[in-house]
Amino acid sequence: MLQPIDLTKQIPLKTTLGCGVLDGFLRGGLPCGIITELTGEAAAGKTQLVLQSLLTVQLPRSEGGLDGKAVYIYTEGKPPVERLQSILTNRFNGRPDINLANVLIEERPITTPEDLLRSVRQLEALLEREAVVPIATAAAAAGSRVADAATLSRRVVRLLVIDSVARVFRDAGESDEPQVQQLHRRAAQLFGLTALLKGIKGGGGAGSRPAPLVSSGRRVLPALGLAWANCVNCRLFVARHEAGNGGVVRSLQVVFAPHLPHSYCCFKVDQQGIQGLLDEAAEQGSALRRHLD
Amino acid sequence: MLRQEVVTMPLPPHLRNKLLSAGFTNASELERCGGPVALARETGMTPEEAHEVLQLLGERLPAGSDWRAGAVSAATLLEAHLAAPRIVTMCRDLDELLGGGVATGQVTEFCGVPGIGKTQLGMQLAINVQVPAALAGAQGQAVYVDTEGSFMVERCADIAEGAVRHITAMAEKQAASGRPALAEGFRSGAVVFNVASLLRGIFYFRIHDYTEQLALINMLPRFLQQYPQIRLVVFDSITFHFRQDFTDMSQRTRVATLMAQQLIATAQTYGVAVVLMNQVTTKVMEDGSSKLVPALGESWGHAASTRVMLHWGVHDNERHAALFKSPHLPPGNVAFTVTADGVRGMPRGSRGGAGLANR
Repeated sequence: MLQPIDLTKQIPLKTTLGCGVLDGFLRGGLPCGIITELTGEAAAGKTQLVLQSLLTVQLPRSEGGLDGKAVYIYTEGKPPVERLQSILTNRFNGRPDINLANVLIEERPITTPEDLLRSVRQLEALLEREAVVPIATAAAAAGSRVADAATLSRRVVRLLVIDSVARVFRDAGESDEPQVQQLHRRAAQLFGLTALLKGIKGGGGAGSRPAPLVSSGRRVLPALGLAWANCVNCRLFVARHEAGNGGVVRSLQVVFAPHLPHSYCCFKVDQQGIQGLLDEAAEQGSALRRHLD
Repeated sequence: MLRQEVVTMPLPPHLRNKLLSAGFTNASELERCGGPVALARETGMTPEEAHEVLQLLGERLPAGSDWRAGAVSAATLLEAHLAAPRIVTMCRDLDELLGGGVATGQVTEFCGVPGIGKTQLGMQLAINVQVPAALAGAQGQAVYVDTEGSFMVERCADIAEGAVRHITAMAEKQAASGRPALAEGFRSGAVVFNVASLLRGIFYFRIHDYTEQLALINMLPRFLQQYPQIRLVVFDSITFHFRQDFTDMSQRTRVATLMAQQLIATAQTYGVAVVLMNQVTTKVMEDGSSKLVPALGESWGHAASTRVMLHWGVHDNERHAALFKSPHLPPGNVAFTVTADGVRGMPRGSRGGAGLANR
């Protein structure tokens, strides 16, 4: 018989983004157990955000991480490993516990929805195998009272990033199928993917095309439509804006989330990766305010 | 049925006459007589005959045996309907739209686009069902069936905190107007209404596919018998797993119809409010235009007796609830908000023309 879960014992698990401002904005970071979608124009900063999260998830619990590994499925060609390495060097230099070995990158090209579904299913099998190990290790450790037994346990995958989902589904469908049937089939595939993703414990992130908000001064529209929107639990919109002094300001906005109000946070991208900006520091002119308020 | 009269019971005539001669006129009197031996003594039946009569009280009558035995009067039904507890949403306009709140004993559906507030409303109802009877609350518990993973406990705790503040304030108001019982109950600890108790009052299930969903619906009657304080069952959402596990649409319709029948029966039998959150989908019309309709198709439309569409306002940026199906209420459209404390009504002075008349 199915058993209810005791809510008073639920501890919401989140992974830090490595920045106090962004973590505060997200009430702790990227949540486990739900699908968070990062949507935005090309070059808005989505990939930068997820690259940073591939590293911050490896941080220990005491620093807001999940002590975990990450899986990165990149669908737009060659994964930006050099950039990942550069953030690692500049931001986490000298830390042995944060390294590229803890980031598993899907090597095979993912171009069709079937490829993506297959990859995620195989990942599911891998996670199931791994899930058994830490429990066994911890039990053995308790028995033998080894003080640093925790470090002996293998890391488990705690973050899955798909960058991006839209790329794979955008071109799906044979040209001789009627339009409506194509839409139905695509919707079915999207839901199938989500069901798989939601069955996997651990955070998930996906980049996709724009949401109905403003970026670079233009209104932008969603790709993948309503069916996909129904699949994600939390949608965050990443945008870039021209600042008053000629520079660029980026914003991260909550479009919808069960635990967050409609709000936004500015951030910048530099060699060290992503850094959130407090409101005062984001004084870049009224043009930005008009878009976001 | 305790009101069943002896004259309508399908008994052999000689037994019926013995009951009537002994002064028994209805089933509740038979229940009170204290067992087959006592009944036999009072009526002059043999113990076996008395046992057979009492057995009949617990049995369902076969179809067609005597329709009066299975019927109740409309007056009785109306009494029951008016007395049945309702679950408030804490948005007064929305409660009025629903006739006082979400009704128990029925299936109510809320559908809407992602982000409109379905999960927020589901969580709010799961908290509000626990409001004490002294404040006209249902004073019950809730089952929350999470099929999408949108239920986040920290948000539910926020909503619980907001409810505690709201209810405490109402208890103080009652005390100030001469009814201090509830406020004293809170102070003395006799009545518990805090975040921990509210979270414990929600039986939370996480469902990962449609077979789990169907298994849970099958198990629900037993669960409700085990925990009779439950007055609300929320499915958030009822649709999600049905949109991708089926390739055969007619099979999906059959399964959905069966699910609907079970939910209606469960709501009626146990007097609980079954609340279904539904997604919306785009329907392409014949002329090529498209509109948003509740998911799962037209045959699903019969599942809920009351259906509400949550949507963003056409003329404003507010959240709206539009009642489009109800057994006895007129259609209507009201605005509501979602604050840090949960679902609430619009702030005073900003209720636009889209509300109910005279508000």
